Parts: sequence; structure tokens; C-alpha cells
Amino acid sequence: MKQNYVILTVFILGICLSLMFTFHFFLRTLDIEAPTAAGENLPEADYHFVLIVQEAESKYLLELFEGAQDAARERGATIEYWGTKQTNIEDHIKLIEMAIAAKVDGILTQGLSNEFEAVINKALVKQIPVIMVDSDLDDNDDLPYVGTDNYHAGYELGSAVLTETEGETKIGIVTGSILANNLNKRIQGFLEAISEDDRMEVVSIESSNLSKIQGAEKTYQMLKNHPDISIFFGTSALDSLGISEGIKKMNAARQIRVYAFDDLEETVALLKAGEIHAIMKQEPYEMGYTGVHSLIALIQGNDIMKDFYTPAAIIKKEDVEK
Amino acid sequence: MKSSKRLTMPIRKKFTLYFIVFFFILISLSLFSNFNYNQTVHQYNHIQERFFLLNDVSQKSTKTYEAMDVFLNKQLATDYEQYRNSRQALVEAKDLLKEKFQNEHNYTSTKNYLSMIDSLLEESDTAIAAFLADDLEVYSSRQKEAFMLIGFIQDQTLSLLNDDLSMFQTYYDAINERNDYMQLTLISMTATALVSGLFITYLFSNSITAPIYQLTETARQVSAGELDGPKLPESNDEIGFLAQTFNKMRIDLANNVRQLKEKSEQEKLLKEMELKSLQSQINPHFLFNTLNTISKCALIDGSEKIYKLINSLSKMLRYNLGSMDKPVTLSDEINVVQDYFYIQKTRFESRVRFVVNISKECLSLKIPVLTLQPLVENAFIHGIEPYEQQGLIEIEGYTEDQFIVLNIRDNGIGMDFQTKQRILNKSYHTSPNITANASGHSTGLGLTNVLKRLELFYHFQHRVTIDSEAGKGTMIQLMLPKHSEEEGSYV
Repeated sequence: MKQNYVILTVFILGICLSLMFTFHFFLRTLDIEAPTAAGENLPEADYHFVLIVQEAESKYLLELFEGAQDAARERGATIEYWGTKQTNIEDHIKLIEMAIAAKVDGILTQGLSNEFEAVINKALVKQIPVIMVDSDLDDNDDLPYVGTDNYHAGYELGSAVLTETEGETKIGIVTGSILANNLNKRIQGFLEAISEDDRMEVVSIESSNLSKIQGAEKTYQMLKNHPDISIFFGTSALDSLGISEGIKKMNAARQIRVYAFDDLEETVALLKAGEIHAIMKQEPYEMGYTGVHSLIALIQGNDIMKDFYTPAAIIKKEDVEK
Repeated sequence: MKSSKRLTMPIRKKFTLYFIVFFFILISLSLFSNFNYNQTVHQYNHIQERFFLLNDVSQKSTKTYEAMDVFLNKQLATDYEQYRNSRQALVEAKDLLKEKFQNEHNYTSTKNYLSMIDSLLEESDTAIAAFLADDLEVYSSRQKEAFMLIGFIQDQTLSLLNDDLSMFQTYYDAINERNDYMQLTLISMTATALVSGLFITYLFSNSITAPIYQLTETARQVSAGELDGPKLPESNDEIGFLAQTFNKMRIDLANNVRQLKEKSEQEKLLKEMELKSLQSQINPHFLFNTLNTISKCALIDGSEKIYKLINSLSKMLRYNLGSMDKPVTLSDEINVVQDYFYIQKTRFESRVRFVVNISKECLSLKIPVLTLQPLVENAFIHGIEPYEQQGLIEIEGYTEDQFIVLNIRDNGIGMDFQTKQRILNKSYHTSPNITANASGHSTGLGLTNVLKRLELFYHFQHRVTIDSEAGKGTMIQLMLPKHSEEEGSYV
């Protein structure tokens, strides 16, 4: 009889155990997330915008998109982030064309080149508002612009160089792209500022093609040709990195000061290390945020300012160490 | 056993139930796996259907553009018709896409895609309208525009496909994972089915074999002679019937054995009596011859009294030592009693009186040998001998209904209640101790022996009553069945 009970217990345990397993695995089979069926949970947004940028993976532009996204979320709109991998005017235009074909409610784009004018006009004809962010078109008289006053920022940096140097000073400039309007304006402002004193001389302006390696190469060559350069000015985010690498390669004994644009993590680290002297810090988040709000204002028929300048300020080692 | 009591249904029903349960488990297993298979196939189809939809729209856009191009080039009415048809097909496919493809994750990109198709439709319509209005400049620019849109649509188709693929990559992985779990579920279900099948089989075989085992065990006991074990449980099934029959058989067997034992006891008693009689046959021929010689001598010497006395003694002895295994008639018994009485009469002379009063029809009654004489002797020894006055012993016989009643009455000292009870109880419940009551005066057989033999001979009890009171005499009454000659026999 005792053995009987042992066998019964074993059987009942076995049945319970296997039932538990069955149940457990069965629950696991139910626990599968099917993709939402078509037509379900469709996000209803009032407006559908597109932000078109020149370099989709750039941190700076991603921050800009973040600002735009936050603004869109506040206003119940959706915003897409489109961009070429590297600056490519032709593809950029194609993206704007696509946005027009997709009948979006508004376009935010960098005004990289005046070749954009035709396609922007096409958008305006189709009653799609376009706002320039970060960089403006040349001689832009009627399209709204949200971003740093690039001329002014360049001018500020130039003034800083002027006050922080004494005597004959040779200057080298590395710019991301010779074609980019925003960079050119920075150079214009910079040149304007230093032209006030004739002890300043810009010995060379070279393009890095928005590449750190090319920036380093150009710096190296510049220093080779003009060993007496004591000031470098990098107009776009990656230029300052290239410059400081080029200087390191040259192993110059002299103190060379680097004036940079944009506070990338690496740039700030170099600033802390003393390899970069000053950074012109822009506010891309501000640009995106204000850009979206301006688009909505335009659609709703409100008047907006032609130019909305977001703040930009010089930061130095002391500022980041605080 | 508990379980056999709980599962008291016929084996046939048990079989049926068992198979129903088993088939149910098997069927549910196969249904489940079939359901799984269908679901998986459905999910794969669902994914594919989306791709087909997308491809369909893309192809129809191209076709619409081509139809427009052909019409603009060839300017045939049939080509226009072709364009209208393609356009209609595209609109339908587009609506279907919107309905079946657009979801939470690809809402915006699908919306863009649909808008691009709308743009294409608008541009091509405008191109054709401009062509029909001979507005050459507009229609060629629109056609160009439409061509660009076709490029966008194809790009967007690819990007949507890519998105869908990467979206469904996770889903596909999930489906595969789910299938793995399904497999595990199936394995566990199979294990459950196996274990419960074994369990049911175990219970089932137990409920059949346990009673059989019990039956075997009990049969072994019975064959070893243990007839009074516990009863087998009688369940409702076929085995229960066997158990029931077996129980009855065992009870009957026990009854038979008891009867057999009783019979052998009778024989034992008879043997003891024979032994006793043999003990008293101390050279009986010599004794008889001597007694005859003495009686003849007494007759020659003229002593008739002695002759008669010795003759009576001789007859009595012969009767006593005669055949023991045959019943005799009542009249034979009376004769022996008369002889015995004659002897006693000589001894007690006129102090005792003997009366026999028996109706004629009673005389032929068959009774066991030496029934009456020991009773009369008992009356003498215990009733009259210690009694100092005129004694009377009376034998009365008459018929009453189916019985013949024999009364042996004396007027002696009687006996008290305890003695009476002792005698009766002894005769009924213990085997008679023949020598116990023998005293020097008796011929040998005690009262209890007589009563016991009567009981065995007639198979009755309590047909003997003793009516006695101290100082007032004793009456022993025997009620014997009239037709005892048919049933009554010692052997």
C-alpha cells in the first residue's frame, strides 16, 4: 500500500509538472507582439514637416532636429529628419523635391547654396512654406531664416583675435566648404573684423570638405608653407579638430592659437587640454525649436521676422572648467 | 481497496472511458499542432501580402506613366483608354495600400508615398490635359515632372520595403521564437499525455488486477483450509460477481464441514460406547455359562427364587452385551427393565413398587438400545435407595400428536435445580463423560450418556424435560418422534 502511494504521488507530480510546463510554454507562445495591423493606432498629427540637412549623422544637426522634434511634439505636429550622408547639393535638392511630391506641410532646410532657389520656389508655388535653418541663402531677401548670425559670429571671433594678439600676426583659415554660404559669411565677418588693423594678415584659406582628415592635411600643408602662422580659424565643427591634429603633426614649438566653431565633445576636450583657444558656441536646439514654431506661425498666416538670430557666444577654457 | 470501491463500474465501461480520454488527448494534441501550423502560415502570408501590395502599387505607377507616355507619343484613343484603365487600377491599388499597409510604424513614410502617387496622378493628368489643349510647353514640363516622380516612387518603394523588412525582421524572429515555444508546448503536452496515459493505465489495471489478486489470495487461504476469512469486497463489475460467488461458495463449504464434523462426533460417541461395552465383556461366555450352571443348580436344589433371579441377571447381561449398533423396540427395553426390576425387587423386597403403563401402539417404537434401563436405574440409585419409605417407580407411555411421550417417574428424594441444570447442560454441550456418574450400583451408563445419545439419534434438543423438586420425586419426560424408524440410525 505504501508503494502504491509512492507511485500515485510520482504520477500526480509528473502530471502537474508537465501541465505546468505546457501552460508556461503556451503562455510564452501567446506572448508575441504582432506588428500593429494596418490602419490601427495611426498617429493623427495636424502638421507634417520635414527637416532636410546636409549631413544626417552630425551631432550638431541631430541636436537641431531634437529641438525641432520637441517643438513639433508641443504643437501636435510630426517632423521627419531627412538628410544626405555628406554634403551634396544635388541630392539635397532632390530631397526637397521629394518633400514637395510628398505634399508635406512645411520644410525646414539648410540654405547651403543658391541652387536651391528654383526648387524652393516650386514649393512656395505649391503653398508649402520653407524656412532656412542654421545657414541662409546668399542675398536672401524674402525667405525666413532661423539660426546664428554667421557674419556677426565671425566678426566676434575676429575681434577676439584682434584684441588677444599683438604685432604682426599671420592667420590661417580652414573652412568646411567654400560653397557653403554660412561658412563664407563667418569668414566675411572674421575678415571684416581683422581688417580694422593692418598688422593682421590672412595667409591662406583652404577647404576641408567637411572632413577632419582633410582639415588636418590642409593645416599641415599651410604650416609647411607658412611656418609663421600663429592663429588658426576653423569655420565648421570638424575643422577645429583637423587643425589641432595638423598642428600636432607639425610639432611646432610655438604657441598656435586655434579659434573654432561649435562645441562638439571632442572640441570641448581639446579646449580643456589647451589645444584650442576659443569656441564659438551656437545653439542648434534653439534653431530647430524656433524653426518649427515659425513654420506653424507661417501656416496659420501670422507674420514672422525675416531673420531670427539664435544666440551664439565665445567660450574659453575657464568657461568649461566651471 | 479504496480505488476499487470508487471505480465500481463494469470493465467494459472502464475500457470505453479510458479510450475516450486517450483519444481526446490525442485529438487535442493534433488540433493544437494544426492550429499552430495554420497560424504560422497565416503570419508568413500576412508579411508577404504586404510586399505584394507595395510591389503592385509600384508597378502600377510605372504602368500609368508608361501609358501616359505612349498616349502622348502616339496620340491614339485606345492609348488614352489604356491610360485611364491604368490610372484607375493605380488608384484602387493605392487605396488598398492605404487600407492594408499603412500602420503605426510606417504611417509617415506611407503617407509620403501615397502623396507622391497623388502628385504623379496630378502631374500626369495635367500633362494630358495640357496636351489635349495643345499647350506644348506645359505638357512636356509636366511629363518631366512625372518622370521624376516615378523615380521618387521607386526609391520610396524600396525604402518602404526596407523599413518593412527590418520591421518584420524582429517580427519574423518573434515568430520563430514562438514556433520554438510551440514545439516545447507540444513536447510538454505529449509528456502530459504520456504520463496521464500511464497513470490512467495504472489505475485501470490496478482496479482490475487488485480484486483478482485478492480473489487469488483468498482462494489460496481457502485451499489451505481457512474458511472463515474476511468477506471479499463485492464491487459492481464482473470481478465483483466472481467475488460474490466465491463468498457464497466459502460459506456453503464452511456449513458442509460443520455438518461433517457433527457426524464424526456421533461416530466417536458410538465408538466410546462400544469400548465401554467391550470393557464389560470380561469373558462373557464364561460368565453366562457359570450363571446358567448356578441357576440350574438352584432349580435342582428347589430354590426357584434364586433360579429366577440368576436368570434375570443373565438375560439382562446378555442384552447389555448384545449388539449395540441397532435400535431396538420399546418392548425389548421394557423387558430388560422388567428383569432389572425383578433383581432390585429381590433386593428391596416390598419397599419398592414398579408400575409399567404403556399403551400398545407405543411398543413397536424404535429407540436406541439401553435407553430406558439406565433411566430406571438412575431413579433407583438416586431416588429410591436413599429414600427410607415406600418407593414407587412408574413408566408411562402414550402418544401425543406426532410424538410418543415416555415418563419415568419416581417418588424419591428428587433433586435440586442446580443438579437438574447440570445434567441437562452436560447432555447438550459437553461430550458425555460416561464414567463420571458411575457408582458402584449402576450397570455403567449414566443419565447424561443416554440423553446425549437420544439427542444424536433423533437430532433434536430439549425434548427431554426433568421435572423434579427436592423431597418430592423426579419425573423425566422424553418426547420421541413417532416415525423415528425412518430417520433414526446410529451409523
